[in-house]
Parts: sequence; structure tokens; C-alpha cells
Amino acid sequence: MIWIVIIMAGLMTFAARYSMIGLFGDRQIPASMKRLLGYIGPAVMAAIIAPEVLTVDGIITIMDNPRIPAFIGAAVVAFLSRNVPLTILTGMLLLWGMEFFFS
Amino acid sequence: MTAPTPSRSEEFLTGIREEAPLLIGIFPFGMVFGVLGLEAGMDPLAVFFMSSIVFGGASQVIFAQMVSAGTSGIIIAGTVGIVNLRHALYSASMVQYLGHLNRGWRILLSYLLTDEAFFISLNRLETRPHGPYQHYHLLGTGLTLWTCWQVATGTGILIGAALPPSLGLGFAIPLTFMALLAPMIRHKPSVVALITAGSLSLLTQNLPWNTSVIIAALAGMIAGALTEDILRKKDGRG
Repeated sequence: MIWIVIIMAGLMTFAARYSMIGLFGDRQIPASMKRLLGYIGPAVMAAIIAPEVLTVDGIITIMDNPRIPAFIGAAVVAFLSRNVPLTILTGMLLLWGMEFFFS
Repeated sequence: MTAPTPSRSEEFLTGIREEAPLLIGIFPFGMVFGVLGLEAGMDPLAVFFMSSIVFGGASQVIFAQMVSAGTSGIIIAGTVGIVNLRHALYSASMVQYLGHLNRGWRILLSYLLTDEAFFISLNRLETRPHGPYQHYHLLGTGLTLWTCWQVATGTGILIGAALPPSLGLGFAIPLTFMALLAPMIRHKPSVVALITAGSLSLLTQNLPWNTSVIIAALAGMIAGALTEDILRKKDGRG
């Protein structure tokens, strides 16, 4: 039973990834769509990041949320260094530090 | 003098090299998924093979959470489909680069079209000269991520129970995305896209079926393009 669910989930995921590449083939996608896709990075990432950082158990939580200062610290490092491992390490260390000292 | 066209193996190895720094965030996340899957009561083999059958990080975590909540199979599969709908946007972005390839290549590269491989390869495709073997770059980023994800899931299943949940390893994912996002904030419209998508994602969080990410992402893209129009018109008038 669980295997059927996994395979269905896998097929739906693949369908999304193959959809446009399969549909359009070597034809051009419309110019208007191309322009929208220019913003795919900031739009998708912000949509994923915001709830991960700003909510606890599905509720927006600003006070007593160590992820927020840890994320801000990591964001500063990301903009200054453009270094992926350094950004991740900074964020994790800040999170652990804050949980260690303030809880 | 123009640089020589990168060969197949040069493109492929560049993809691997550029994907590698992300693994520091991906590996712990894969382990977290392995642990969550077991805790949800799933068969270890099902947990392990989900990572190659679905191959979509966040959606697999949601899958495990729904299994432990006793959600029905149809709703679980549907939710995974919706969470991964954003990959249709990646697919659209890749048409101009992959559309001419034969079906086998298109199927393989679509299967590997995950967030972290897509954004790294998109950067190569948008910022460096085109070459006949540029799709090997996506093969490199995709296979690197795929291999790491399988090993991480397996490690999580085997030793993950020893990881204290208080480590908050899931936080590595928003941090990874932050690192990818920083170089993309280039002008005002991209800031507008970011703020719109982020706020809307928070506001729509409790909509059924986890539709919030795809709705927020589409709204962010539209807001970015509209801002670009408005700014261009202003400039036009002087």
C-alpha cells in the first residue's frame, strides 16, 4: 500500500519536472512566460524560506524564535561572502549558540 | 582569443564542482528525512527507495509527516504533487536549453530537476557562453545531488536515531536557499518578487493541500515582472 502511494507521488513529481520540457520540445516558450520566469529564483526561494524561518508549528512567531536572528546572521554572511558552506555553518552555529545560551 | 568550447567532461565536472558546496546542507537534511520516515512507522526499504522514486526533499518530509498523522494515501500523493508543482516552473525555464535534446536525455534530466541542481545549473546556463554540451552541467549537478541524497537517506535510516532532534538540522535547508538567493537579488524587481512571495507564503500557509508555495511563487514572479514594466515606463518618460 505504502509503495503505491510512493510511486504515485513519484509519478506526479516527475510529471511536474517533465511537463514543459516534454510539452514544448524544441519550440520556444512565449516571451511573456519567459519574462515571468526571470523571477523564479527570488520568488520560489522566498516562498520556501519565509515559513521555515518565521513560523513555529504553523504559527507566525517573532518573539522567542532563535531561527530569526540565526537566519539574519547567515543572510549577512551570504550577501558578503557568497559562500554556501560558510552561510550554512554560520546559521547552524548561531542557532545552536542561541539555544544553548537562552534556553 | 575566445575560450575553447567546454567538452562533455568539462561541463559535467564543473557541474559536480559547483554542486559540491551545497552538500553540507543537503546531507543532514537527507538524514533528517531518513529518521522522520522511520519514526512515521514506514518500512525502512520504503523510506530508502522513496528518495529515488520521488527524489524531492521537502515533499518527502511532508510525506513522512502525513504518514505519521494517519493521512490517507490519495491525499498524501496529491499533496506531494502540489508541493512539487514548482518544478513545472523549472521545467519551463529549461525548455530553451534542453528542448532540442532527444527524449531519453529530456526524461533523465527532468528526473534530476530538483531545486538545488536546477538553480546551480540555471546560473551556468544564464551567465556563461552556450556550448553544445551544456546539458552535461545539469547532469553533473543532478547526479551529485542524487547520490548525496541516497547516501544521506541511508545514513539517516541506519544511524539517524542517534541524532538528537534538538540539533534542528532541518534549518540547513532555508540556509542553503539563502546562500543560493543572495546573488540573485540584483535589482528592484527581484526585491519586489522576493517580498511578495515571502509575505504571501506566510499568509497562505494554512490553505489546504500545501498550495501556498506555488501560489506565493507565481504571485512573486508576476509582481517582479510588473515592477519591471513600471520602472521601464518611468525611465521611458525621463
